Amino acid sequence: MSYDIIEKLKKEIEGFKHDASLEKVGLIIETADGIAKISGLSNTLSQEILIIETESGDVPCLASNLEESSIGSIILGDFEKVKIGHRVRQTGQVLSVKVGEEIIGRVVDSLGRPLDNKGVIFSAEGKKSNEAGDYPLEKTAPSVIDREGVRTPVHTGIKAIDSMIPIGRGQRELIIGDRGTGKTAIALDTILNQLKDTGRPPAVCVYVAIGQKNSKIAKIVKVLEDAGAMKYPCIVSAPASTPASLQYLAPFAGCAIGEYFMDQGRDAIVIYDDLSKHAQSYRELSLLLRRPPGREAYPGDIFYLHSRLLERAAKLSKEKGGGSLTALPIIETQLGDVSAYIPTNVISITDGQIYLESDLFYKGVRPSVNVGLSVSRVGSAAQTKAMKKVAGKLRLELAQFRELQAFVQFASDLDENTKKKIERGERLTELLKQNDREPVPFEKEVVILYAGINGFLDDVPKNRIKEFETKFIDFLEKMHREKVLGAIEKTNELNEETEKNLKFSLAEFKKIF
Amino acid sequence: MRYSPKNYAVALSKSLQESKEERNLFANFLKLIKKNGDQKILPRILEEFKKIEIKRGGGSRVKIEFAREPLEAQVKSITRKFGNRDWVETSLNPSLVAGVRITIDGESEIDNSLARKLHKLFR
Repeated sequence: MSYDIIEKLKKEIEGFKHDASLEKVGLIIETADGIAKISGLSNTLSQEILIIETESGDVPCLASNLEESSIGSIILGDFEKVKIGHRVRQTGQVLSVKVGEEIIGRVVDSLGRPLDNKGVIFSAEGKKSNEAGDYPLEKTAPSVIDREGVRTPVHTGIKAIDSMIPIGRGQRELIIGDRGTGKTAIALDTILNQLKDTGRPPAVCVYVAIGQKNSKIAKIVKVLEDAGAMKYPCIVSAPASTPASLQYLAPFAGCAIGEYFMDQGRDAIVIYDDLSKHAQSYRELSLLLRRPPGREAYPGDIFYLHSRLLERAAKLSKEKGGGSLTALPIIETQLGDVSAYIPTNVISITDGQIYLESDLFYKGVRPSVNVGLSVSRVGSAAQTKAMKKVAGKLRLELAQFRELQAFVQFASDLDENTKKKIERGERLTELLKQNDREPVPFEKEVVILYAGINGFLDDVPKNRIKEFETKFIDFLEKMHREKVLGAIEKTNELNEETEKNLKFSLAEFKKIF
Repeated sequence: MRYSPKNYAVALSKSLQESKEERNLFANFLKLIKKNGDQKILPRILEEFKKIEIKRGGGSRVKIEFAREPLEAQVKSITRKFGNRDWVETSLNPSLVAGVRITIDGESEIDNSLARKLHKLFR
């Protein structure tokens, strides 16, 4: 073995050629806090990777500020190794990550390096490696011609979202709320539900953790592994302990990974958890690079930073393979203030938002989605026919309930019709509650919402709604799997025959409940 | 307002072109540096000044680093390659291990040192 190694090394030394030719070189003239100022290299490209030659190895850096007499760069490695006077060389390459089938089920950093102790991602002998390619972190979003309308749904497995705030494949839907209101839980449920959404081609999920606690990321990986869901997501991790540079690059790396699958004609979902911390890391870098601060000390291009990232979410046309990239950015608000700088920016960029409220959360309405303030601009175009049939009425019923809610305390003075509407609204609100990590498959959502809006729950006590739901689903699974659930799953429709069967099974079940 | 080394260097260079009393000018320049409390950046000002003057004369600034004390003939054979307008400096740099490194205008270099070869081999 050692003989082989020495022979290989010998050959490499013998075959080594060194041409002392004229090369471009730069010098470090200033360095601090992960930023280096470089003199020389006047033909450097923006976002080019430069290599700093230190005594203990090469350190890459990213050319960010191209100034008249120097270059401001972000150090991507161990910045403590970099000293004034070190030589810098160009690579002629922009920052990219290697993406392929092998990256699925792995935890990587912002530069695509593995973090999960499962060995190298792309081995030289790996069969799938041939398909792997380098995907640039910064890329122009697909043009208008390359896109088509968003029509296929992304089922989150959350009743309130799938029915009233539908998300389509290729859409950008913001999840916004205070800390601890269940933003990550929605994202996790969406990943978990892809396993159950059998009626559509499976979507590859990319979860990007920016500035999160390492413990939280470990917990997420554990949840996904336990649920057997690590077969299709990839996690890009840039925890709070990593330098701001890697936190800033993480969403772009996640997007590049998603784009690979989109270009293969597949569907991908990228979750950016969260863009508030991303904005903070970019603010840190910008201030260190001495870019002028603007509102809340964020740099002037903070809007462009997020818009160019989220604009890369798309549903490609058939000519381009028909793949899609759905973006689910998350924004954390402070005391429910959605009018702060970063939340308003991202709200205006995305195609709708899921607004989570702490008041609702503490009242026990979980997921704490405020259906009045949440919207999806894609609308029912991204819903199946079966869901459309139940969702329209549900929205209306709940809107009416919200208007009448103020009168609940005067219940005795109300007329019969108003009382009924309030009762129905309360039952529907109860029906929309669900535990986290328990996403409901789409066909089951349809049948249970159907029961709710058609008055089958009106005589069920409010505290037994959950029990009704569980037992009814169980009943359907055992007695009418093919006629009801199977039919909806196959056709995505609630046709007359299925509706008749559903009504019949509901009546049958109510006799024994 | 604080002036950058480049500002000082440009101002000095332009004053020299316009004025005939060089000695007075340098004395005044040093007094100004002292008054502004910028003695610390004097080496950087001189560096910038050299760059400007060399550029004005149409030459290049050439820095030749030897790993060991070179023979006079070796220095001559290298410096002869450059023109009269170029500013050639030689220095010793033991970190090169062996060989020579020539840097032109701080932007381009010909590195024929052993340190560079080893770096390339083990990268």
